[in-house]
Amino acid sequence: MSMAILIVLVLGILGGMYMPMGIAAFLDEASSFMLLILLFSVGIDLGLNRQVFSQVRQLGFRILLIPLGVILGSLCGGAIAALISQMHFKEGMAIAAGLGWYSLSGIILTNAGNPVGGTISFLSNVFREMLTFILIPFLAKYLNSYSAIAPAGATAMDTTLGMISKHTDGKTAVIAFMSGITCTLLVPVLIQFFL
Amino acid sequence: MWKIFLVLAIGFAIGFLGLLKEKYIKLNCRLQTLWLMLLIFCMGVSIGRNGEVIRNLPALGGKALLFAILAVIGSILFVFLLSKLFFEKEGAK
Repeated sequence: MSMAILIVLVLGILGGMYMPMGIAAFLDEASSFMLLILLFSVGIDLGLNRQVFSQVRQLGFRILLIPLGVILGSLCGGAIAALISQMHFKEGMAIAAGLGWYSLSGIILTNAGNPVGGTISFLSNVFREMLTFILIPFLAKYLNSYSAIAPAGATAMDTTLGMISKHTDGKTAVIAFMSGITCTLLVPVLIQFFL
Repeated sequence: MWKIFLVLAIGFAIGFLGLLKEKYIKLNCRLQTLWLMLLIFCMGVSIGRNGEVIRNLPALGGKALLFAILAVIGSILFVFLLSKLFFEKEGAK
């Protein structure tokens, strides 16, 4: 599955670079439509599993541990990456605080007068989303279903939710969605904090 | 963002109320893989046609990849440890 995804992703990128502008623009527009169809399909799956919400309710406040782990882990990763590439810790953590939401994180850093940091943040969060697609099947299989939510960060509520739902179970998909919402709400706050 | 909630809720209601016959449920399952692949392809196209990404890749791509990989590893480690500590008793797989 991961291999198939990598191939489709690379074909898409090459397609975007070399196909006629009109077709590429159409497919770019189509991606938000595809997302809605996919989430509709995921919604049906979740509805079929009637115990989902009682299972999730059992976890209670512990559900917040998932986005907490995602955020702490990302910030630590960002700090180490800053150390390796000889940047400021705060800048590194601001880059990693994008949690996969590339369109927002890049703009905030750029508008704060750091266009290079903004571009690194934009690219690294694009890469994060790609890595997430490829890693989810591995993580679900070799670690546990919660770990499969981890790389997704803010994207767990939209683009990578279908992938998580496909490779884990209904309960994990609901937790992923809630973790994604929490991360999404916190991304702007976190980036501002480290600026 | 409200559209995401809307389609999830409509899908959920259809599944929950049992409006689909068994064969359409199976079909939905199979189509899901197709939608997923189409979405990933379209997202690839968005990235490929984004001049900014392609232009900056040679200079900043390596650094960006380092940040992405370490943020992802950090997230996985923390979530895995927290889930082992607090969730595992419930028989999570």
